[in-house]
Amino acid sequence: MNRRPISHRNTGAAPPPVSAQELARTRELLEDREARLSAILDTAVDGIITIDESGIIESVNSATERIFGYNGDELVGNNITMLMPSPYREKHDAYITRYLRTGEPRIIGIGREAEGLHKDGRRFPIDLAVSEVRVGGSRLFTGLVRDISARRRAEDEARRRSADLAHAARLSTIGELTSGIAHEVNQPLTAMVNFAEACLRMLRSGNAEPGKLEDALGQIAVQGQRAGHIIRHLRRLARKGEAERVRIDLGHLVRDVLGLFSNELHASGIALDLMLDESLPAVKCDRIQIEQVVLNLVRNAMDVLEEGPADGRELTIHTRADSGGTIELTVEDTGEGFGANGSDRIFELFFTTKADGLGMGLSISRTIIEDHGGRLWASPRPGGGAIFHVTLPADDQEAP
Amino acid sequence: MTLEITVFVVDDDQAVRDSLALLVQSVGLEVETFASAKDFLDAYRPDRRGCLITDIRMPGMSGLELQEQLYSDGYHIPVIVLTGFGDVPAAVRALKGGAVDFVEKPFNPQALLDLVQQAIVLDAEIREQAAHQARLAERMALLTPREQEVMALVVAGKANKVIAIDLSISERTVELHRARIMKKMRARSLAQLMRMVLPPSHDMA
Repeated sequence: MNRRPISHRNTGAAPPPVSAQELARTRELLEDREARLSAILDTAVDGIITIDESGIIESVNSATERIFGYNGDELVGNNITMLMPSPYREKHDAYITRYLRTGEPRIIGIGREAEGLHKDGRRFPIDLAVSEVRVGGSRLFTGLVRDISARRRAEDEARRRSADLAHAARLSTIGELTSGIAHEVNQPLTAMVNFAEACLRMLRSGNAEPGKLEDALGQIAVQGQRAGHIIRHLRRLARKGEAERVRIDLGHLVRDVLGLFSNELHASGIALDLMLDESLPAVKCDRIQIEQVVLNLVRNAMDVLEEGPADGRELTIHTRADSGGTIELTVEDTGEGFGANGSDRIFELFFTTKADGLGMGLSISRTIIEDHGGRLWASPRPGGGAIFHVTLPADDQEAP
Repeated sequence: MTLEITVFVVDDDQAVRDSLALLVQSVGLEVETFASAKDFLDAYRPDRRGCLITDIRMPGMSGLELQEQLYSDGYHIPVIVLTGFGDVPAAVRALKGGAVDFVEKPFNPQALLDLVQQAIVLDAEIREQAAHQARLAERMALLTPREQEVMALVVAGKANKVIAIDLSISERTVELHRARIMKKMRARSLAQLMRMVLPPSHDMA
């Protein structure tokens, strides 16, 4: 069989009766036009695929062969879904049916980013534009496919750099904060140490005056409390004043946070299992703070998964409401779990198992959740890994 | 000049101030506390013996500025600087400016008390040195201009004969000047006179 620049399926339309001469000339004309068209289509950088109303591939150009790794002959006559990874693959037939029935476009004439499936099983990002062509009584759809792997890699790199930068900025802020905390707390600590030493000396000298001792010991207690006040005050500062509590849908919030990680989840081969209860009652909270907690838990789970073996990386996020007016969010990973340390220490300030960790995330997260009247704890996942549980009280007021 | 030794404490934090006072008193030393550098400067007289402990970070005049002010006023009280977290550059400046030492809060009280003892000894030495200089200056003031000329040549190691020729006076006159110089300077020997008059680095000779 001849290798044709454009692979065609025979549509089998019956021609009207014509003279042999006419037929020959028309064929010549047609062949000439088709050759020109093929030449044009084949020099295109983008893949051009035409399908019929049932999704069967009518023709592809050579860029399509290059992008997806198939010969044209392997494609023509098959369903377009062979070039799509899940979940696009399963949904495609329904899209077409829906469009044919309602005429409501999802993608046609709009274009969007999607994913392609290479012959070797590799998923890759594509830009997809679809247009509709009416030929005779039937409709064809033409898709323009551009492989954007390179562009996506550049974007990922840029995003990673900006994340690194944000991390560095956060560290320097923490550095400044630490210096401030240290100075403030060192004052009462200095006083306590001095008072204690003076008491010891008075006692050792054998002629300690009870009144003086009592004063000094009282001062030690006062200074200890002063140090505690400073810490509490700082924690309030870190809360950015009295932030407004608003009613939010926890499921939306989780989706927003996951949006930040979608590329990385994909790049790290982490399978995401999202089970969000759509009828979840609202919670009243400081959106930014709760986002910070969710971000933190997801970040931790991804870090621990990325450290482990490349297969079997699973991240499961559930939301559910219980009858007692409590909403629970769980973030489950199949990482290495807690080991012998158990899950208690991880909530201590400055405790970390990460090489570059600050050990502040979980401690701060727990403070935030407890501020909202909820709880944050961890438990081992049956079969390995960890589950972090967040509970928050449901807002019982009806939405305004 | 009073003989009483006092440890002066300057810190804007009352608790730190009070605790330092009690600590210093616990080793039997007198203490006076001040909430600011200015309060201290207003109250301090250079004849007060002892040493100064000052915080480095204070509103108004800082510990460093206080130290600089004291030295530029010609006061040589030994200074111990208290620094906070990460104040190392300031501490280095204090040391270069002549501070005895610095301690970082919260410090080991024993280490601070040791520094206080060192500073008190240093203060006594500085005062002894200053008193010596003052005594010497008093004695030198008793010398006539001619006696001063003769003394300069004597400590330069010149023989009476040479001095007589240099100054165009008789050798006998040189001897008389020399005797009066030894008496006024209260020197029993040429070596003692030379030690008094020549700078300390030449003592080795």
